[in-house]
Amino acid sequence: MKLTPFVVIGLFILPAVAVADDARQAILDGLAVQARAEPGFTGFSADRGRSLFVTEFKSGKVDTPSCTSCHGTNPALGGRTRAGKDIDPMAVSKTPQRYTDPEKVGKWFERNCDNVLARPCTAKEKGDFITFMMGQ
Amino acid sequence: MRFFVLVCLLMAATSSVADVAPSPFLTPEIRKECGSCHPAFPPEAMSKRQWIAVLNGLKDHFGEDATVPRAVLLRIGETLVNHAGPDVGDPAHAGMSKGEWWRSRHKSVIGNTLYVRTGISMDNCIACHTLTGF
Repeated sequence: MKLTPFVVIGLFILPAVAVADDARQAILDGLAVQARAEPGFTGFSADRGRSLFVTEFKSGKVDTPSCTSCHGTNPALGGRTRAGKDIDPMAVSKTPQRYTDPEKVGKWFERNCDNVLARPCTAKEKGDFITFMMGQ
Repeated sequence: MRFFVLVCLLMAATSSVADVAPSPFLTPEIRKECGSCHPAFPPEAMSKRQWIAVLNGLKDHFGEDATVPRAVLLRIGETLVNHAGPDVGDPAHAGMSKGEWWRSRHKSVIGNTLYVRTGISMDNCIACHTLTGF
């Protein structure tokens, strides 16, 4: 088979996406293990994740009543930090590297749950959130 | 948007506003940790006293939780403090554009009518500095 440029590019991109998917699944599996220790857990829900993303909690810091304050209401579009810097879309379909680096995922949930909710998120909430974004 | 990019370009061309050489102490880790939400400021931008105030106050950093893991804090803190600029008496935690260091480097934009017309806030570094970095 003659290797067209597209095939050559594809050979590099496909394994990268597969690796990212595996890494994300590993994070989700880890969260599921933790969530099972919380009462009443029967699996992650994209609907609950959506609600977490769009709800105006107003329980955290004044400038960040909800996730959408900075990320925007459409996960497929980017957001903007309060200081004016662009934020890549949260949707996995748009930013395939999302939720694949455990350190990054841990750091930003810790910061932003404190910002928006003034408390740490539960494992169930984190899993719901990622599950929602995987379908976006 | 196009108008103020044009203004910034014009200013960069006519003065030394946005063409500062990047600080050698702006490490990749500082760029990553400080630069996720705003452009990462070089250590020289603030005095040791100011950096310590910022680093100790990351739990409520201008209204946001910007905490980093302790090991990261110690590493970037060391670089920021060791290469800090002179203490010119700026308030410890008042925002970059309120201080004398910043003002001394932005003389050509402060009160410049061409710049004021764009309506860009003095806190909006990115309006000019994305073009060239710091």
